[in-house]
Amino acid sequence: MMRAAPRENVWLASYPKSGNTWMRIALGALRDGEAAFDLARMTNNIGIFLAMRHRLDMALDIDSSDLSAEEVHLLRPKIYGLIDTQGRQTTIWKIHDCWMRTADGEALFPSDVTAATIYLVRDPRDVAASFAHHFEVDIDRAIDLMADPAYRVAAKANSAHFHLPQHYSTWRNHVLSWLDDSGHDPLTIRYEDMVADLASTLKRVCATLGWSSSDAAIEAAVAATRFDRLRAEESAGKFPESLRGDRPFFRRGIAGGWRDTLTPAQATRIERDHGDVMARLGYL
Amino acid sequence: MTHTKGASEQMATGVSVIAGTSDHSLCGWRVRTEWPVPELLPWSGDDRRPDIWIRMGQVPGELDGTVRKHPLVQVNERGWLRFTVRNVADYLVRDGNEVVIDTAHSPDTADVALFLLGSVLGFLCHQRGLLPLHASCVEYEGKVFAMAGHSGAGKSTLAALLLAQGARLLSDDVTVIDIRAEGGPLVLPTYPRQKMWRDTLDKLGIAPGRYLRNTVQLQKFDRKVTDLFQPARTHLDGVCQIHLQLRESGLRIEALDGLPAVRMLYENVYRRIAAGLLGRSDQVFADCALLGGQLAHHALVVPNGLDTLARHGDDLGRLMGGLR
Repeated sequence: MMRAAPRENVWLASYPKSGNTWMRIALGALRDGEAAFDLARMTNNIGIFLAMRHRLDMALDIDSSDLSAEEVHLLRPKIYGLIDTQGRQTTIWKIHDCWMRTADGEALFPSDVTAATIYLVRDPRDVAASFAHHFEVDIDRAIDLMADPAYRVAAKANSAHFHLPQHYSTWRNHVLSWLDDSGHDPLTIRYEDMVADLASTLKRVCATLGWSSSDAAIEAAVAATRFDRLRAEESAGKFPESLRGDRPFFRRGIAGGWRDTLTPAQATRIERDHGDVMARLGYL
Repeated sequence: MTHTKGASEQMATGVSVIAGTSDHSLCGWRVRTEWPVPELLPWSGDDRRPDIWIRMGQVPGELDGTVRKHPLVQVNERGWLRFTVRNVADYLVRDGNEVVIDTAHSPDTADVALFLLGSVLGFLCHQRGLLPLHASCVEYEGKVFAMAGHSGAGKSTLAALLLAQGARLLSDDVTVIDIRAEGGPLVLPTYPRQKMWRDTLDKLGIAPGRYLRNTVQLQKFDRKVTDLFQPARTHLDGVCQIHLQLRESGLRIEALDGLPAVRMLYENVYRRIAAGLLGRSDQVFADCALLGGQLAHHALVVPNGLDTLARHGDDLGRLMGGLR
């Protein structure tokens, strides 16, 4: 296969509602400088969503909407080096898929084009509450979906999607796929640590990315991405990834909110479904 | 329709044999095909030799003399192009006038013709020096407009809304333009079908036609629009790029001039990577620059959401009718 020289890819991977967007915005503020901070442009410029259907179409010169989900899945690993990354040698990709291989045995996110992997993780009890809000389901349904090994999104058979089908699997399997199966040795970042001390967290991420950001730059990025500021900008219509209706994307931005949201039975279900991995990450 | 048993000419490379052929019309070409393509109108023109042959045969896994490759496409030093759609068919497209199909499917599947009338049509255009745009094209109130956009942008939906307003269809999804025709750019009409998603058909109250793919993620159907088809080659008046906007509640249109128009056209060239593999990048760019200076170009901003869009057929008609 003749390909362009492999560009370096950074996978910014997480189960949904685990701080991926927040981290993308913070890295954007860090890279572009606080003076250039513009939420309306930021999310387009950093953490490009790899599952956007048109990226695959552009890279492979096909209409993926004419292909089956299985056919598209086999093509996904073919696109690296073919996507227009606007001249950047290193590209940060936002990913919600679990790490997996295609039916051909190819890694969806191959090691040989990987510069670094950052895996963001959040207490699944908080994920459940946020997930229910984001996808407009009740919390029990969110807990069901988080425990469904077959859970895929954008795979409905009767309508158009702008996203490619993505396999989330269970919350537990998602974590283990990236931490253990991928072989990427990711830098694991806990949402709770971002809430407690974003500056320290960004320093660890910068070290992994090889960015030499000054303390002042990091403090400026932290200031630019304070939750109340993000929320205000979203209210002013400046966040391009807002949800439908009047629901805010930036909802609470806290750690441990599940304590006043979930019933004891709901929390117990989550602990039963994912307990071993929760314990490993310090959530139990 | 002309039917002949067996092929009248043998091919240079291994040809398996042939049930029967029929002659159809596509872009004004006489197309003789061994594979059934019910989407096409029967040939009703003169008794010229076929312009394009579609045959069944073996397509080698690797073309001799391959010079450029992409995951789904190879091009060799003679400008022959090999295209593969896994589980559907391999296609060899050469000299702008011949397609060899290698498939394990039986002729009752819609899949093989789907890619024949999509990507393969695009490759033939590039080999023939024509400009294919990723656009649907309609004639409305005496003007011919291509509505361009990537997959899912709403090309077929907007065309269907205009057909309901009295427009006629010249092409769905791929608009073939002869840039250098006498008297200005001409659209070569393709065939009287639309390719639509199930939810769009339901929302617009249109009965689905032939189910197009067996194993699809998105259930695609065709919609026969023979009575609403404009089969004559016609002067192109303008190109509109469709922009879906999440927060729009209505439709609006903005003029695009100069370089933005050229860029818009270039970004909507159908199978542009294949054109590059065929060594035609510079020519394609020159064509876009020429077309950009010749016609009226617009950005058509529409709400992202079928429910909203379906209510705006009248507005769309008014906007398009106002373009001159």
